[in-house]
Order: sequence, then C-alpha cells, then structure tokens
Amino acid sequence: MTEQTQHTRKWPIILAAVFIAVGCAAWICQLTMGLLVGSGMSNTFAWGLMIAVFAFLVGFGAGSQFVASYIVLANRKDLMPYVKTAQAVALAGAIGAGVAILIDLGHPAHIMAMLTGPNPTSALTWDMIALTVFIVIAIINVIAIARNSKALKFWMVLGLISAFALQLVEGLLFALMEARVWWHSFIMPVDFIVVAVVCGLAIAVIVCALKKDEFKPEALHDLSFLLAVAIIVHLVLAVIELAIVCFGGSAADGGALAAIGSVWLFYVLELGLPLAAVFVLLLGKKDPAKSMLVGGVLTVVGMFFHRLMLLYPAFASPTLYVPLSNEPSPSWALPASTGLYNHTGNAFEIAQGYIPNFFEWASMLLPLGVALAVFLVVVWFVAKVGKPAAEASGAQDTIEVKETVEVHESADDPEVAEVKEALVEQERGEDR
Amino acid sequence: MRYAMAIDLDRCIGCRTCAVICKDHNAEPRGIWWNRVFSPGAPEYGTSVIVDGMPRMEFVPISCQHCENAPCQQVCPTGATYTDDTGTVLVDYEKCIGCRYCITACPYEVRQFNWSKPDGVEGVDGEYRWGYPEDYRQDGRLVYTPVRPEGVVEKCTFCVQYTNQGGIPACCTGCPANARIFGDIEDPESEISQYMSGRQWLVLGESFGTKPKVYYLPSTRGEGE
Amino acid sequence: MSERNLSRRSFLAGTAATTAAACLGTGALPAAKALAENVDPAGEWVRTTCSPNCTGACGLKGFVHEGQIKMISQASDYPFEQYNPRGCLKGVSVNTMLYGPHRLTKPLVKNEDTGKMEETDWDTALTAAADRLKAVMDTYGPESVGVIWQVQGTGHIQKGSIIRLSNMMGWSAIGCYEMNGDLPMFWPETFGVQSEELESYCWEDSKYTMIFGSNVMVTRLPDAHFLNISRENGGKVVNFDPNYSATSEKSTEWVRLKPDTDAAFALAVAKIIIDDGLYDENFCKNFTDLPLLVDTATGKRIEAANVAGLSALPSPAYRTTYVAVNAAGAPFAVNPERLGGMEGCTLEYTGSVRLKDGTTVNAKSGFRLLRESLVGKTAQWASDTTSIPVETIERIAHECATIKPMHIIFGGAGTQWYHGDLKGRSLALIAALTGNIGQLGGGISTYVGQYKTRFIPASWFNPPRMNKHSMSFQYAVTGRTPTMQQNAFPPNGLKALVVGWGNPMDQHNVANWLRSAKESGELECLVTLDFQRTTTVDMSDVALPAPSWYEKLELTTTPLHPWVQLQQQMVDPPGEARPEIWICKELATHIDPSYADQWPVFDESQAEQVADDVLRMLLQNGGPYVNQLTAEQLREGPGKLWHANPGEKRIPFWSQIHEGTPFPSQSLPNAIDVTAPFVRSGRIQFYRDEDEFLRLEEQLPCYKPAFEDTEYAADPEARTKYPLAFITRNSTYRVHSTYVNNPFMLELQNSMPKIFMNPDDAKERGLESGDLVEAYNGRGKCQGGLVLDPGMYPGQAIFDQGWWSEYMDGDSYNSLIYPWINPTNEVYYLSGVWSPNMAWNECACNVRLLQKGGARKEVMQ
Repeated sequence: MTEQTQHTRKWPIILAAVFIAVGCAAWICQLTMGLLVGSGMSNTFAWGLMIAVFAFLVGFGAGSQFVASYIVLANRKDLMPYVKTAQAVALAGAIGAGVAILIDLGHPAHIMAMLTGPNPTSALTWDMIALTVFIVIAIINVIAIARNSKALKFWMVLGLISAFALQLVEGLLFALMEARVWWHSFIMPVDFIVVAVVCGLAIAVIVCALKKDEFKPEALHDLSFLLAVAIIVHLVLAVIELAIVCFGGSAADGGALAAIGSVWLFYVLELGLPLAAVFVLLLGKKDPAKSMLVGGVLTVVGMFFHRLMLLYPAFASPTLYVPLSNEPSPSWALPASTGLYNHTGNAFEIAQGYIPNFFEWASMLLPLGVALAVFLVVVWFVAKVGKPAAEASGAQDTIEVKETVEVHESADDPEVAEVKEALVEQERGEDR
Repeated sequence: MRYAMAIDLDRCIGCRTCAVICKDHNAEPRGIWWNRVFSPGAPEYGTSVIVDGMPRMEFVPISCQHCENAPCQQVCPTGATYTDDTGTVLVDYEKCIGCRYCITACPYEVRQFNWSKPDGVEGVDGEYRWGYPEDYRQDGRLVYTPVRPEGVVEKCTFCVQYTNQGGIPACCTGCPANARIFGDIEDPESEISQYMSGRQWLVLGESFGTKPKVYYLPSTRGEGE
Repeated sequence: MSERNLSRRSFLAGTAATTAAACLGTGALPAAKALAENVDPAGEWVRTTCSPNCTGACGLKGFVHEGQIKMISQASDYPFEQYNPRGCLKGVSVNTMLYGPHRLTKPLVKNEDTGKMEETDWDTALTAAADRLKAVMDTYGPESVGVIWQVQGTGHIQKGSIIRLSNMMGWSAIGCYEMNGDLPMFWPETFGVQSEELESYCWEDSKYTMIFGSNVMVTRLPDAHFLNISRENGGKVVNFDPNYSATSEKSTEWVRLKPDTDAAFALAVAKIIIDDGLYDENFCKNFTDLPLLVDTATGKRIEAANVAGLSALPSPAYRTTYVAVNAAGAPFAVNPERLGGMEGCTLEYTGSVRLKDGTTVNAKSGFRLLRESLVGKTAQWASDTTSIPVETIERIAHECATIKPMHIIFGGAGTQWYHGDLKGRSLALIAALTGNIGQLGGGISTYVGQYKTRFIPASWFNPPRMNKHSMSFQYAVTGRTPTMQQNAFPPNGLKALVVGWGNPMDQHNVANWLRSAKESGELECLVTLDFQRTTTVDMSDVALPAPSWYEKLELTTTPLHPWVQLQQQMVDPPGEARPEIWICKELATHIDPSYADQWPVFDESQAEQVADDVLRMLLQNGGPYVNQLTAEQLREGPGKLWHANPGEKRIPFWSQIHEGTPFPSQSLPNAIDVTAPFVRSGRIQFYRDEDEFLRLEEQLPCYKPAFEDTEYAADPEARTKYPLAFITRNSTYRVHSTYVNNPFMLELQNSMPKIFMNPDDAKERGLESGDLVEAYNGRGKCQGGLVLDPGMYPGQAIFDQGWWSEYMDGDSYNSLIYPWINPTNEVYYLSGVWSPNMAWNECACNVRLLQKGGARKEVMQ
C-alpha cells in the first residue's frame, strides 16, 4: 500500500466520523426539543426527509445486492472485481436505512414494543423483518466473500431473494396505503424493485468508472447499458404512475397533481436527471468512463429527488374529499389539524407544504455517516480477512491472473474457483 | 357490541362545541384537535361556497371514524393501535413508537402527533392543564393519560374513560343541537339504531373500504333542488 | 315530535345520569377490572350558570379537582328536555381562561410616573379608587360618575351590589341595553315596552318563522336547535339575510336582500296583506291603534275629551281616551283601560269629526292612513329596493299571512342602524296584521341581550337612601343635542367611569372618545372590576379583581328561557380576587364611612354568606315570578319563573290579547306609569303623533335608506370615499370581547382577526384572500386578514367584533363607528327603554391593502 492510498483512505473515515457526530448531535436536539422545533413536518405532512433518506439508502442497499448477486450468479468475471464493493454498499445501505428509520421515530424509547408485540398485518413489521434478514444475509455474504467461501453462490442467491423481498415490502409499505393516491398502485412495488436496480447499477457505474483500469471496456459498456435500460424501465413506470393519477379523475388525484405542481422542479429533476443520464450513458462514446461517472452521479441525484417525490404528492395533498348533502359533486377537502399551532399559529390547514429544517438535514448525516462507516469497515474487513488469498496470488499482473483463471477452469469445481480467482484479482486491483 | 355514532348533518349547526368539549375533556394539548368541524368548500367559518350558482354552508364534523376495517390498526407495527371488544379503535400510549405510519394510512386525517412536549396554558399558578385528570387503562393498556408522552400519536377514543363505564362521549352529551347520537349499533333497540332506522345515511370515504362506524345523516338542504 | 326524539331524550337523560354518577364516584362501576385498573378522579361536579353577556344563561357543571376546574360539561338538568344540553363551545372551555395568562388576581393601581398598572393590596386600591371618585363627585356632582354593569340578567346579587352602590351614590347608570346598541326602539314606539320575546322553546311551536337581522345559529347558539325542531315538525323557517349565513343554511328558505332594506320588504308584505284582505280585522280593531282617528291637518290623534258629545273615560293620567268610529259612522270614545269588544267599529274611515269648540276637523283612521302610506309600496318597488324577486315577496306575503302561528325574529343586526326602529315597526305591523301577537309560537321577538329584568329586584338594588341617576353616554361624544331630554346626560358631563364586567375601551363605539378623554384627562377616573385583564383594565386608574361565575354566588335570568339559576362557588377565586358584594360595600365606605349603614355588616370571609342572605331576600321579595322558589331548590338546579298565562310556556302579551289588559305590559324594574305614556292609547301603536315623528314623517312605519341621514349628510363625499358598509358582527368564538383570549377559540381562528368581503368588491380593489387589509374611514381604522365570502352581498366589509386591541396592533374596530343619535330616540328618556340607541352598523368605510399575502395563512387557499 502506498502513502497515497493511505492518505486517500483517511478522509472517508474522517468524513464518516464527522457525519456521525453531527448527525448524532442533531438527533439529540430533535429528541430533547421535540420534532415541533426539530422538523418541518406536521400532522398532514407526517413523513419527511428521514423517510426519503431511508428509501434512498435501502434502494442502494438492495440494488447493490442485486448487482453483487448478479455478478456472482451470472458469473460475470469481467465485473467480479466490483463484487466486494457492491456487497459493502448493500450492507451499508441497509444499515444506514435502519438507522434512518430509528431516528424518525417519535418515541424510540418504546421500540421494545416492536420486538415484544410485532403486528403481522403491518408492512412496517415485515419491513423490519425483511431489513433484518437482508442485513444478516449481507453480513454473511461479506464474510463469504472475504473468506472465499464455497457457499458464496448459495448466499448470493439468498441475498438476491432478500433484496427482492426487501424492495417488495418497501414498495408495499407505500402501495398498500389506500389513503394516498400517489402510492396506491401496483406500480409502486414494481418500481421499488426497478429503482433499486437503478441505484445499484448507478453506484456500480460510478465506482467502476473511477476504477476503469480494472475493467475491460466491454464490461463498463455493459454496466452503462444495463443502467440505461433500468432507468428507461423506471421512467416508463413513472410515466404510467403519473398517467394513473392524471386520468384518475378524482378530487384526490387532482390534489396529488396540484401537490406535484407545487414542487414541479423536484419532479422535473426526478425524471430529468435520470433521463439525461440515459443520454450521457448511451451517447457519451468519446470518454466512456467520464460519461459513466457523469451518468451515474446524475442518476444518484435523480434518485434522491425521486425519494423526496415519494413524499410531496402524497402528503402535500389532502386525502379526504367531502361532497355536500344532495350534491354528489364536487367535493372538497376539509382542513385538518396541523399540530403546529404552537409553532406557526395555524391550527388547521387543508394541506401543508414541507421544507426539511436544519435539524433534519443535519440528522440526515447520521444514517449517511453510519452507511459510510459500515462501508469502510466492510472494505477493511474484507481486505483484512481476505489478505491470505491476496498474498497467495503474489505479484501477478492481470494477464497472469487471466491465465490462472483459464488454468482453473479445468479444475474440479470450476465455478468456485472462478469466483475465488476473480476475488483475488479484485483484491489485487484494490491494492494497486 | 359495536359502538357507533350517528351525526345528523341536518341538525348540525356547525358550532364546534363538540370539538371544544372533546379537547377540554380529553386534555388535548395545544394544537391538537381530535374533532373538527368545517364546511366543505368554504374558506372560513361562517362563509359559503357556491354550488350550482347558490351558496351552501354545510357543516361536517369529523373525528376518528372507528373503522371496522381500520387502516391505522393494520399498519401499526407494534399493535399500539387496536380495536377493543366494543369496536372502539384505541391507541396504547405506552406501545406507540411514533412512526406515524398510522397517520399516513388514515384517510380521515384525524390522527394527531405530539410534535412537542404537550403543554397547557401559562397562567395564574404556573401551567394549567385541563381534562379528565386520571390515567385510564383498558386491560392494562394506557388508552388515556392527561399528560401525553411526547412523540406519540393520539386520536378520538369515543371517550373510553366514560363509555367503558356506561357513559357516552363528551361530544354527544355536549352537542347543543343534539346532532350526535351514540350507542350500540348491533342492538336494534339502541338509541342510535332507532334514530337511524328508516333514514338514509352515508359514511365518509366509502371508497377506502374502511367501513367507518360514524354514520352521517344527510342534510335536507338542497333536497329536490 | 316523533317518538324517536322522545326516546332519545330519555336515553340522554339516562346516560347523562350514569356518567355523572360514575364521574362523581358514587355509581357502582360495571367491571371489577375497571376498579382494579383505574381510579376515579378525585373531585366532584358542581353546577353553575355560564354568564357572559350572551343571553344563554346555560346551566353548566365543572369538575373540580385539586382546587381547580378541570373540565366543563352542560348540566343538562332542565326539566324541559329539549333545552338539554344547553351550553356552547365558549362556555365549556372557560376553564382555560379562569387559570390563563389574562386572569386578574390582584388589585392594580396605576403608577402615575410610569403609566403602568402595578399590583397592590386591597386597602391601597380601594382608597385610591375612593379618593379619585370622591374628587370627581365633589367637583362635578355625583351624576358625572358613569357606571356600567354589563347586563342585568347575568347577575342580581353581585352585579346588584354595584347597582345598589350606584343608587346610593347618585352616580349615573349608563343603560346597558342602549349602550350595547341592543335597544330595539320599535318596542317602546309600538308596544310601549322595553321589549318582549318568546322564550326559545316556543320556536318549536311556530309553523312559519321569519328571521331578520339575526344569525340565530351563531349568536343564539344554545337555542338554535329549536328552529331545527320547528322544521322537523313541518314548520317553515325563512331567513332574510344579505349574506348566506349558518342560519340561512339551516332554514327552509334563504331570502337574499340588500343590507338595511328589511323595512321595504315588510311594507310591501303589509300592503299585499291589506290589499288582498288577508289581515285579521278583529285583531286590528281590538288591539291596535289602527281604528283610532287622526286629525289630518295636525297629524295628531283626536282625543275623546275634545270631541263633541264625547268625554274621556276614567283612566290613569298616563293614558288618553281616543276616538274611533262605529259602524254607523259615529265617533265614540275608545276605552284605553280595556281592550276588546271593538269588532263593530269601522277600521277604515275618512271623514270629519266635530269638536267641542265647534270646529270640524278632517279625520282619518290609522288604518286608512296606513293604506294610503302604502300606496307606492308595491312588490315591484320593494323588489327594486331590496333585490328580492317580486314573486318571492308576493308568495311570502301570502304564506306569512295564512300559516299560523307565524313568528318574526328581529335581531340586533336589524336594530343597530339609524333607522332600525322603522324596520321593527314595519315587521311588527306584519305580526299584528296577521293577528299572531299573544299566541303561542306567534308574534315578534327580539333577542339582543340579557338585559331583561324578570322579577322585582328592588329589595337589594334600592338602598334605604336612594339617589338614582342615569345617562346616555353617546352625548359625551356628540355633545348635547337640541332634541335631547335634559336628564339624559349630566350637566357637567362624564368625568369618571366605574366599569363592572365590561371592556368599553375596546368594545364600545364611544371607545375612541373614551380613550382620548382618558388620555387628555377629561375622563378623570376609570375604575374597573373584572376577572380578566382586558384593555380597559390596562387603561384604568384602579382595577379590582373579581371572581368568575365559578367562584361566587349569583342569581341569573335570561329572556331566552324561563329558568332562574344560580352561579355557585365551586372553587376559591385565584389570587386575591374577592366577591363584588364585598368590593362595592368597601368602595362605598372608603368614599364615605357614613354609607356603612346602607350595607349589611360583614367582612370578606362572610361575603358568600351575605350573598346567600341577599339571594333569599331577592326571592322572597321578587314578586310572583320568583317568590315560590327557594334558595335550596336553586342550589340543586333551575327554578322556573312564574307566568300569568295558562300552559307551560310564557306567552308575551297574553293578558292584553286574552284578558283585555291594556298595553304596555310592565317592563321591570320600571313601574307601569313610566312606560305607559309611550302608548297612551293602551294599544299597539303604529301611528306616532309626537312632533319629532311628524317632522321626520315617521308617523307610520316607513322605509328610509341607510347612510342618507348620517354619513352622507355629515360628509357628502362619504358616498364615494366610503362606499362599503362596515358591519361588526358577532362571532361564534366570542361574546363581545369575552373569550377573545380563550386559547381554544384562538386556535379555532388561527389567532387572526379577519375582514370578510364579497369577492367582487375585493377584486375591484385588487385585493386577494390572505392579504392583510385595513377597513378605514375618516374616524378610524381596523385591520384583518381578508377572507372572501361569495355568499356575501356586495358593498360590505364585515369584521367579527370582540378582538382586544392587543390582538389588533393597538387598533380598535370601534374607532370607525360613530354614535349617531336619531331624534325619534330622544322623544322620551327612560334608561334601557326609550333612549338613544347605538347604530353600530350605520358606518361607511372603504378597504385598502396593508400587506400583500400578509395575513396568517387561511384555512383554505
């Protein structure tokens, strides 16, 4: 390891530490001062930034698991160097998401009730289970990767299933809410899975572009293409989702549209950034790695807006519309108690906008910091535990490795050997 | 036994006494209203909305609908929200983790979150707090407490502290227009069954499939017009 | 009433009893588990009477826990079940104010150096108040001290003690009825009484109800449901309102009319009723002045004493014997002491009468003059004036003449105009022409205040040494007028003001004058008794903390229901607040120790016992209305007032219509001889022949448009500068300025005073919903968040009155208003009965933008 890499590895640790420290401080502020001061939420806009961060992180977690499992199970040797990173992102995203949801609780002191009496009809219960299972399997996968486990493929299958289940549950967590027209559609769980794929691939594209030397151009091109396809599928789903609301014709649909209109820039960014990414990824032939970097970043930012837009059309619009006696239409929303009287002087409003306040932005750093820390720990762990394998490979260069792989193809258990070798290769790539 | 409430919109005069007596008896902190009365389409109390060229000012009180198929209960991860054997949907303040999933699930926007430490009013002897002054438990579950824990969700309980002892909710005893009728909807002899018998009624948000147990008897205003 | 309703009532009673028992901890709990799990709250429910000035007088009960009232419910103990539960949103949350930040707990005296009110002890405060008042009394005479005690009905013992104090000091009582603008002058002008009304439970007996200028569903909240019951029973409720109100929504029919044109509608209806022969001829003959002859040359009624061959019949000096014509065309003396038996007379007469002096005068009967006066008052004319369609006017004329009993509710919003009396007289004409007066569920009623005295209070109000004065404090602003009665204002003016339970510095249309007079020193002393720290308390020289209606013994009545009720002491008043009976006695003896013999002897700790003694004395000496009631009975619940007519419900003018007793009925606490001169014929008088009425051509009910004789006469440019009518209506969230600081009420309004306008008027001025706007005229200004109400008739800016200055950036919404005095209100002066009324609504203004979007966000966008 060179001094340079020593140095570049320091700043993520510092960043994670700062994020966690600032995030913790903000969370403590929220806990002590209360969410009235500590957030911009209200009874009508009851879920805020932290839920967006939760969905954002869990998307990267599950998505990276998809990517990791895909590489291993599809035996993409050309992408094998990325598996360790993907798995680290998977675990980090999931744990970060778990932290986000904990921070969001109004009364975390009652959390034991979740364990002592989980309600099986609640998607949130299943979400907790799915997330826990996902994390456990992701940890096992990390260890399996680090130890070059023979059972890696098995665990990767489980990882794939758990990621799928997690996103399905996430999607249903929203989609089952009949009260919210923006969520209540079959698109929601499907899109949750697609978005996870987009997120996983976007991170892969970014990481691989940064380490373009480790990958063959075809592999990078494949990744770009996969991401572009995933984005297109997601955008098609998003357009269908919008069309459902546009043609829904109910007052609530109109309310959701109005809410979208009130934050139209977010919506434009949500759709526009990934769309731009598609063009960049597919058309940026001149410097593919740079295009990938740009496309990947555009996608990640777009996905953050996508997660924010999970909230606005759902919460910034009323749910109940009441007609008059003997006048079946039109119908109107009734003002609801905002819960903000002590803060704003407005006890009742039809719908509330939402601007995350300082404490929310700051406490958002906690799940992000934790995710970063987990990522670093996993990378460190895999590097440490995986050392013997790396050392065994010696100072061979890539061509030699290739040859080695070819040699191993004739071995008794070719698949396991492939994976092992790919991991060795990856390890060396890391070291370089 | 299924407790239910009928609200006669023809009798309701929109005075908000139900909302206020509810707040007074149930120690609802500042900014929290379990019960609210508004006029669809009208910008403010005492103003109207034009429908078919004519003004209207219908008063619609809304509180927890105590749904038979309560989405809030389904989504509550800890079972803090539950339905008791009278059909009343209640919240156990000691099990609520404050995830607010129930708030997102409820189409009636009747669930309220304690965003801050619940407070009373600053007054002559320091802070004054109103409301039923003792805790009320049902099978060990804390379903009423005069000083709410911060960060939990609360809502109408049909005044569980009264109904469990044979009383009726404060909004029903307190409605000056006698527009609210409470009772056991399964008992054909009950006041509410008798009142609703032969009358047309509707529920709010029928499309949500929540099967509310608050029934609205439409106003005669606009009939045959 | 359906069986369903009956069973509901018994159900309510049953469950209420169970709840009460459970809450009191005396009932057996149904489940053993409940016993183990839950403790009954320590404390008890105590009954009292909610007593702001709202006419409700609702029986409420408070739950007292650890020395504080924790919650309030309606007592629901009225024997007439449909009165239960009685009590509104304000009353059931007053506990938040009893212990809130504005509660007055210590005597305050103004520090002359800082101008701030500072806490002090009772003796210092009483001495300061007494010294200042004595100085004014010595310099200007005692009648220059004005006294306000809110309204009579809300208290006879404690409030009675300030009346007693005033009556011994020779201070001038400022009549609360006219001060509040509530005095419907058509009552004394037409019936010779202060006012009369059906108690609200009679509304359910009406088959046809017409409402003018009264938003019953908001301002008579605990009574409003009786209109619903009337509808449920098949009755028709027709609401006449320029604006679509809650009452419009709850009526069978809403009739939209131009503001202040009710009289034009009523006159057209009267014309149709007469022209179509729908009137009750015998009623007109027997009970009204319509058969009486008027000398067409002088406009004066012809007295029997002057007619050849006739002479005045024996009657007290306050009545006059007038003349009618029999079927044969011969004049005869009409007995002013006995109504009825006039079926044979000629109602409509034009001819001549020979007088004793040998001259012959041309004479017409009142009915003939009425018919002539109505000639131009066609449905088309009324339609042009009121904007009500002709067909609607014609249909309603026929309906109200034929469906009986028909009842007219004529509220304060109709009264509080310069020509408010003309509306009342026109509407009373409909009630009389249709013969609905004196019938259960029929007639005309006014509900504008808890002013009414319902038993004889002299035993406590009148001290052994009486020195009684009154004044009409509009004259402080307008100066003395050429048409006024000299005893209506003290010769040296208003120099000191003693305020009991009022907030005139915000709440009165002389607030501008009061504030500036206080500032300039013209008003030398202001002493206030209250339980809340109002604007007036803050501007006072001395403020004395009093108990609320949960903290003292008091005796109340209201015009809206027949029950005498007590306020009871549930808890000790917080801090050093003390009962008014003690305060007033102490104030008297601090002014002059020789007044000690005018009061019972007691110290502060005995105040409650003395109040109980006064209660017994008042009941015993209150006349037949209350002398069957005992203090013990009232401590348990409501006691019903006695009334003369048979049947459960009191019927106004029953003995006039059914027993032939002459008008007026007695307006307590006045003796009959002071009010009888208002209707010297002993009949319902539609024709007034006093000079001022003749001069203004208001002999008969007529229509005169708003602002012409006031704003536009004073300033012709006002017509264009101030094209909007400034209406300060009552809010459901306040009773005048009481409850403005109730935290629950503030939440319900998003804590924001509002100005309401028709969207077109706003658009014309470039104003939008949510703007912070200002209503203004040459006299003052008032700001609020703009709310657009499409149900409002154009040409108005409406402000929900009652906000204290501190909620309005120091403004007073009354600063725009001027106390115009109508000379017909000055023909006589009897405080609280015939006296200049406040024309709150006779106020022109315009509205301008203060800040775009500057209002607190409205409930809806």
